[in-house]
Amino acid sequence: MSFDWWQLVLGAIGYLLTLFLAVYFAEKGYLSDRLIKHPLVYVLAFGVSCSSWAFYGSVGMAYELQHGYMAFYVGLSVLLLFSAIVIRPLFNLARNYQLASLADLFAFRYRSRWVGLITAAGVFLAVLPLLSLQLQAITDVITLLDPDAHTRFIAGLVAVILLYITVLFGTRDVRPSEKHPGLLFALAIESGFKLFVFLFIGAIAVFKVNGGIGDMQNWVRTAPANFSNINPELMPTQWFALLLLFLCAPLVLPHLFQILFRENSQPQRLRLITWAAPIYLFLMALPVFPIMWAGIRTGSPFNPEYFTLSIGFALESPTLIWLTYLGGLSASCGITIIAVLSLSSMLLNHVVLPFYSPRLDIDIYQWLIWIRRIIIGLAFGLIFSLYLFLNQVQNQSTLLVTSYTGLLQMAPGLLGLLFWANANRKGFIAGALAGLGFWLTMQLWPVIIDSMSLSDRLPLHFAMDRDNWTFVVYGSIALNAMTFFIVSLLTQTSSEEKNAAEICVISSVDRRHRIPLKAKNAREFIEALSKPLGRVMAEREVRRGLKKLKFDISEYRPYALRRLRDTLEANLSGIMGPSVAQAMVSRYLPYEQAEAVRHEDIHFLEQNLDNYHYQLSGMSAELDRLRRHHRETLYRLPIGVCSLSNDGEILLWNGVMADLTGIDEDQAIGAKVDLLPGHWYDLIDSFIQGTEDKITIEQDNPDSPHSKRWFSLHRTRFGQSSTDLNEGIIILLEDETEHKMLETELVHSERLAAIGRLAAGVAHEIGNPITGIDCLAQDLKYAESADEISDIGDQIRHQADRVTKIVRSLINFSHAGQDQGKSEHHPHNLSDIVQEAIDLLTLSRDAKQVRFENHVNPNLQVMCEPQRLSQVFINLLGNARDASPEGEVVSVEAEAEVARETVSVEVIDRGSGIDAEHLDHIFDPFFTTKEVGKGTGLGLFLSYTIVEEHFGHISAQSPAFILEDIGTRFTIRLPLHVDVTSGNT
Amino acid sequence: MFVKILILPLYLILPFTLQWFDSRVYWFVPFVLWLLVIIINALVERSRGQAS
Repeated sequence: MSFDWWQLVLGAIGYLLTLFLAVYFAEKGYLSDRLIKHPLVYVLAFGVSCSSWAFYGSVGMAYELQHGYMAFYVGLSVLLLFSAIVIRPLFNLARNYQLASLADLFAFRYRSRWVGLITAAGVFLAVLPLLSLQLQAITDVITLLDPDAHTRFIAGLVAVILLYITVLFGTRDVRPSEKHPGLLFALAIESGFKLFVFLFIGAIAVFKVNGGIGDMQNWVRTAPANFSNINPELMPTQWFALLLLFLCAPLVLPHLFQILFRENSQPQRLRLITWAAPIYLFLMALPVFPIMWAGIRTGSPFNPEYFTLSIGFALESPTLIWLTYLGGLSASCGITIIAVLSLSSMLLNHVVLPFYSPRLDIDIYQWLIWIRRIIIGLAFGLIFSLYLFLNQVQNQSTLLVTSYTGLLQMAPGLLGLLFWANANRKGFIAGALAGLGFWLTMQLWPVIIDSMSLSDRLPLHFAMDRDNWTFVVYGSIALNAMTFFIVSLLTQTSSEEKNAAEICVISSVDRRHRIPLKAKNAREFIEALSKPLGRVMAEREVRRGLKKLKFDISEYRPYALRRLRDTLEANLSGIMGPSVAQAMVSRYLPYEQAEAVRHEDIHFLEQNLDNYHYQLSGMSAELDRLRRHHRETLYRLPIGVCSLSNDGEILLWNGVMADLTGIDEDQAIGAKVDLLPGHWYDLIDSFIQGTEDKITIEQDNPDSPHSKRWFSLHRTRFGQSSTDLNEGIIILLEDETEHKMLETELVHSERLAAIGRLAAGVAHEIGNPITGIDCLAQDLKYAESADEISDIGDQIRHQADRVTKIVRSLINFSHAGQDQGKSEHHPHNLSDIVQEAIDLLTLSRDAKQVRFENHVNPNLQVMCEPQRLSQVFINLLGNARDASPEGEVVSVEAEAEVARETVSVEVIDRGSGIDAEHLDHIFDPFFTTKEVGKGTGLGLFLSYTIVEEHFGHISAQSPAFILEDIGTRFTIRLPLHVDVTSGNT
Repeated sequence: MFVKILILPLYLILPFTLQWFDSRVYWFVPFVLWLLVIIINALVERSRGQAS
């Protein structure tokens, strides 16, 4: 059988064209979304990790190390086994902070552009042999099929085609959320095809070449004697070294980072991939032994690394050989495209942008896209150059182990990122440089030197046996980890790194501080960012951030602005890398007082806990459940609850609070009190500034301009022993309107009842003048002179005035409080109010006759509703009369305390007094000591309420005359000059 | 997580399980055990998915 290289190249171009079309159709929407976004596509795309080494080189390693080759697949499976504590946290970090690569992650955690630079350079250097391996695998196979092939030309051509596909489909946008569903779909196709071909070759090897399972097992049992020499037992040191490589390094691989963290936006897929990807790996590993034995059994002249190809030769099947060739090609191309794409983003963010800023008068997005394309071109150029340099003399396992050992040097930094809050940049840089230095000297350099000095293919076990590669693996990682650990311990971790550690370390919770920003609204953000980004980009980025957070351009809440700042930093990080983004945001969107006392951002903490509650288990999960229960209880309390920080930022605003105020929770939380609508700001601020812990206040009802609403406010402060989270003040807001309306009804009823009680007296008082008028009218017949008639008329008018006065008093009294809750306080003469109450009481004829004395200074004025205040005196004087013996004096006295701006009114009787045991209850509703039917028990309760409404206070003292042990003294304090609060005006 | 930690040692010694039988004929034993732990892990993930 013979093949022409140009046919093979055409076949490769045809295959790549198919992939190209798959990407094109997917991106253009010709394929259904259901197909492109199917979970299986994601699982298969993960199969890109099985490069050409898995297709060809794994057989060579199995030949060399028996089951040792399984380390590649088992390592990945173990990593996926613990995805909840490794992959999921990294996924969250990458998604929340738009971190596109490992270098981004490290620069974010260790807060250093040098960390990013070292990581980017180290990963790029380490991945180069792996990517050169892919080109080498393609050309090796073509050389095996056609020894006259122009391998360098072919490798160059393949590199150019891959470059074209990468640039075309991978660099069309620089948005941080940029995804490549088409590329992912194409990767899934190539992984599926690769798996199918490999399984098919494995099946052919078992059933065609080895004569079935039974025959194969027999052959294995009676294998040639020298079989053991070629294929010695796997040593534990080798296995664990390989396992270490393939367990840690995959997380560092740029292509896996891209697929796991950038191309995936659905966290639930990580759960799927945890078990589905190992099945893929299992299937890829399964055919290796049968293929290897088929190669040995048929006496294949090929290097064991290419036994996969030898199956087709053994069966003399050109179709199978073409299938194998395309399967291998497929394995090589996918990884190269996606790895270079990821590397380009990493190099752009950490090698170019920290050291070169674009001009502001150009379109920065386009500039970034073009720089990225140039980097992709350079990367392919370097891969091709290394391929040429290595001269195809290295076997695949050598290059794989070399590459993964280099990548392993990032593992300590990654462990520090996830698990160690004290890890710092100095430790990372020292450790990485030590590890990379060791690897460069002991492994990469010998590989390069050998490639320069050798002209023919090295024996297979070059890497595995001769070059003590296990020593390099263990030595480099031990040196790296120890240096990292010791330097981190001996040096200081900056506050920035500590903050970043709180975000990254999985046992920590991301805590933010409520530090005010200098920019006070979203528009000021645009102005500030226009300096480094230009007006157009600044506006676009700020609007993108606002859209993501569902905020408006008019946003002004401090909490919202802090979140906008974080989002902008994350978005800019996705475009330019975390180093540049951090520097830019710190400089142009600074905090107002960085060194001020810092308070934790409780709302942010709470949101974080909500987002991460699925990670909690055991006691933590139970505590979180309890927290959410309490939170829900607070939220659903049938009373408005608002928690304010010391600086006036609203931390909690529950549902009832939102209903009562008409201000949504989303609008209120994170805002300062002074940013609330006017009347609510007035109300809450005056209450906070005041000294009272409870007030009842009335406001205009926005729904009905002719009525009012009453609110009672209560407040409490956190105690001294509270944690630093508990600062500020808690305010409870209660709608008292209904209660007040009922109370008004009650007062009115009580008043009508009082009128009823007065009825007999009223009838008598009105009857007397009417009788007088009647008599005078009769006298009028007998009047003889005009003077006499005039005199009688005056007397009639006098009697009529008496009646009018009595009726007016009754009408005034009965109508008080019938104004639908609308009350106005005006200055009124206190003496007149008391006198009116006395006049009304004297109408009563059933009651005992006592003497009421009004000693109130006629000049004293109080802000009040006279009818309501009059009812207080009617109640007090009525009680005094009932308690006093016949003919006794009940006096009302008043004294102004100008200094305290109050007037103190005393109602004193010489009655039987109040028992000490009852004194504490006399203001309770429905409490009475009178006989059944004679008292409702509401008089003093209503008096108390009315006095409170007048910002006053009422108290009782009994006995009033201690020596005689008689009498009661009620003292009412009323504001002489009312302290008008805004809610009361 | 407890189950995962339990099955981890099996992953770590997978290639050496072949030595339990002292014959190359049982080359598939590590694969069988591997498949077993994959299934266990899948069941664990499924139960976690249902629980959350």
